[in-house]
Amino acid sequence: MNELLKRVLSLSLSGSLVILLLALCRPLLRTRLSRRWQSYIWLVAVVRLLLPAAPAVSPIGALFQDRPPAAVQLEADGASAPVTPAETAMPSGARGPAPQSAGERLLDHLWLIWLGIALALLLRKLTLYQSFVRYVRAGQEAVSQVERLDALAEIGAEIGVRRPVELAVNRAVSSPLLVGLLRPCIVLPGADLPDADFRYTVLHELAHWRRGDMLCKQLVQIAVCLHWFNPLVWWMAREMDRACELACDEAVLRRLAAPERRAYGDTLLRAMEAGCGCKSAPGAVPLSGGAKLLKERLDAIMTFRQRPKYLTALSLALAAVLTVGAAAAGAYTGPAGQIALPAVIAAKRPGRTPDRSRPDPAAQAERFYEAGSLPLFAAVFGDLDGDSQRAWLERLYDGGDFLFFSTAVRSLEEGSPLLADFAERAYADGSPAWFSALAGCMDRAALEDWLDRALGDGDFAFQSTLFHLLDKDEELETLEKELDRQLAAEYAAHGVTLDGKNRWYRGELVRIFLDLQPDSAFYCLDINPKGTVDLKIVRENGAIQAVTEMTRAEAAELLDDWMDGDGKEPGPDQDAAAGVWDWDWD
Amino acid sequence: MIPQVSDSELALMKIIWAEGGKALYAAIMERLTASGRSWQKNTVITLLSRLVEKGLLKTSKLGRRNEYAALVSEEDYQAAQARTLLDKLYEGSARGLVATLIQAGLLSAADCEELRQFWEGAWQAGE
Repeated sequence: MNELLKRVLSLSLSGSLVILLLALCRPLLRTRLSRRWQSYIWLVAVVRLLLPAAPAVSPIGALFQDRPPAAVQLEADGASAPVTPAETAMPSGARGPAPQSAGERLLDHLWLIWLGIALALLLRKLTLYQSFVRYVRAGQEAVSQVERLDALAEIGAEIGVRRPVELAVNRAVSSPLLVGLLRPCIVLPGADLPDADFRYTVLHELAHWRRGDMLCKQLVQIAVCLHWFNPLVWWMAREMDRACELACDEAVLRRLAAPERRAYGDTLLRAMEAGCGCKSAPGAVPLSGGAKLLKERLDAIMTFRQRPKYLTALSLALAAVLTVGAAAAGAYTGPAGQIALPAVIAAKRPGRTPDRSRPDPAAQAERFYEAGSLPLFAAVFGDLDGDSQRAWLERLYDGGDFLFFSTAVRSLEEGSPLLADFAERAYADGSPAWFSALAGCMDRAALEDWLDRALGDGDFAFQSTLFHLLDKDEELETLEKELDRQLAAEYAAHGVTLDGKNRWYRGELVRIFLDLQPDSAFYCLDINPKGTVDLKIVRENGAIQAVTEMTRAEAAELLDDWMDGDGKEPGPDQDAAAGVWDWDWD
Repeated sequence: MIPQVSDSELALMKIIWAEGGKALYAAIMERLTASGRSWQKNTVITLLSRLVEKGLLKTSKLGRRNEYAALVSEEDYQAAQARTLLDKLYEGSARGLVATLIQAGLLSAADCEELRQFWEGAWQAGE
């Protein structure tokens, strides 16, 4: 499928999720949250539909990813034809000799159909709007009564519209409306409107201007044109129009005393009666629109009340959650590592030494590392010579960059001496985590050797790592039991006793029990809400030095973390997740 | 052809002509207030920009202040309006207009005498 179409489809899907969520919440929020919020919240969906930005890793993005970049690379390794950037950019597209079925060919050209219809719709909306504006402008007459202009200026000042707004009368329009994106102009169907009606009408139209509804409607129209195949988007556009009118009514009602609200409803009704055979247009903002909507608007006027403050806070929180959710849903932003992969593939092709015109892998590795791009780094790492690889592994090991280290290790050739060297080092340093990254690339024989060694040394952490890697579940279980037994004995020696699941210390039930080794080789964290004392084990060189009570602040922080992260230790994985949370504008 | 302007717009034009064909926004507001018209700021700006659109004024910035300059002199405007009036009411006949003025007592004897002198002076200047 075409790249462009994939992006549009991913945006559509992502946006649809937001729309669906909003639609589901609607009955719940309708009468509870402000209409203003209810109208603006749709913008989250609109932005999601229009903005092809996403975190580098996102569920929707992954859905549209053909296959991981490594697979692209392998395929290119075997391909005899030269690989051009165009081909890698379209991994599933027209690649050379594979015969295509008619269906595939249609799929390849689907994007043309999409584009054609989208452009046609855009063009149609544009010309419709233009001809509507021309129609309105042609028959309009500027209102020159100074009293009316003064009234308009005063109402503007009242609700915070400081710029001058034009006022005109056009007998050809069915209801009052606001036109002009840059120079707003309120067009009334007639000049002979009572002062009160004039006031409500102007209040309503200026509320549209103040809220930026003109711009908003244009954005929605663009979204509709681009996502013409998505009925949810059409539905949303209608829904937004409705929400927008209701929000403006609300803005007006907030400025009116109770008896005036009734009069405002009357104004709406009169505008409705006057304007039959409406000529409406996309982008213009009318005062009345449709009997059904009018009924809802009148209903809202009758039940209007000021909303308590806590609801404002709630609506802000909801908006924040939804925005983050929409961003996290993500979108397809192109094949992973699309830009740099061709060079990598070219360099990897067998029988060809990288010539001078290609960037040298060492520089690339440096660049990809700086950019934090794991897959690209992994791809070039395999091309480095042994010395550079060793230098890199040392740098990553010493720098504590576990994620890049473990990825780099996986790109090493089988039986590389580097594996054994660094395993030796991790073993000597007592770092089972780093060791397991290396051990994962070893064959069984090598692992058995290491297991013998660990058993000989009586090192439980390495034993458990190796049992795990060798799928020796029974031994692992025995070992863990043994480990637990030893730990319990160790704790008991320092006054912490275990009784079933409860730990006791000096006759008190323990609430938090934390035993965290400095190198994080293992940790033990128990939380028992019924407990009354918080304990922390202090170790030195592996041996328990003391059992101390935690300070109130320490305990509170720990409990917070526990709530947020399911008590998971903040490991390298989580850091990496934070690192790739950047916006991809491509 | 000079476009029609509303009464309120004409009031603004007269102020600008009285100021010598050029006036700052502040000066216009001052004169308006002096003449007992306390129009809103935005009303005046709207009216002025309509005059700019009609080609009767042009606006320029003097620092941060707006200056409005008349593109049409008061005499030209009066002549054009008179012509419109003639065309509309008297099918272009000035005589009909003068007759109306005299019959309705809108011209005093002194006015007539002044007009005669103006008329004869114009002929002598022409010879």
